[in-house]
Amino acid sequence: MIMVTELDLKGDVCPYTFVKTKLKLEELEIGEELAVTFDHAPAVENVPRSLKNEGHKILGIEQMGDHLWKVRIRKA
Amino acid sequence: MKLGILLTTSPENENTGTVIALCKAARELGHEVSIFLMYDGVYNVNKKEFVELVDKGVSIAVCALNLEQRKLGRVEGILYGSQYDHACIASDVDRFVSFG
Repeated sequence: MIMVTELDLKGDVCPYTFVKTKLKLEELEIGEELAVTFDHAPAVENVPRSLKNEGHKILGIEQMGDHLWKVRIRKA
Repeated sequence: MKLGILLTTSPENENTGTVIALCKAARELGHEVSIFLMYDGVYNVNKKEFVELVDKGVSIAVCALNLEQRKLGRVEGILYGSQYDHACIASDVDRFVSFG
């Protein structure tokens, strides 16, 4: 069973969105899943692109509402 | 050689002309050039001569947050990026020059 960790970054903007996501990923084991909630539109594009560049896998990006997104990441 | 440039001033500042001239000279000599725009530097996306550097092979990334804060739109060929891209440029280049 894969453990899913939730991270709520509503109210955070760049660069904290990426930095806090990266720090949380460092706490996880390889293969574990992190689900991050953003309300800052540029982060929804930039954070997944940056994490892919770091080797992590983006499992999905889901729009939860007006200016609210959830990004699911698998740690590599 | 790989050259990185950070530009944080608006097009009214003489830095823009300097950066454009520097980029053109570097590209003519075959050097790779990457620019990151942040703070008022993002206003350079509205300057035609600056954006034309993309056609000369210059890679330009802009801080999406600063762009959004100044109500500016996207420009084709320019990466809508973040401080992560700024860090990647600084890490990847041989020389990094800051104009602020």
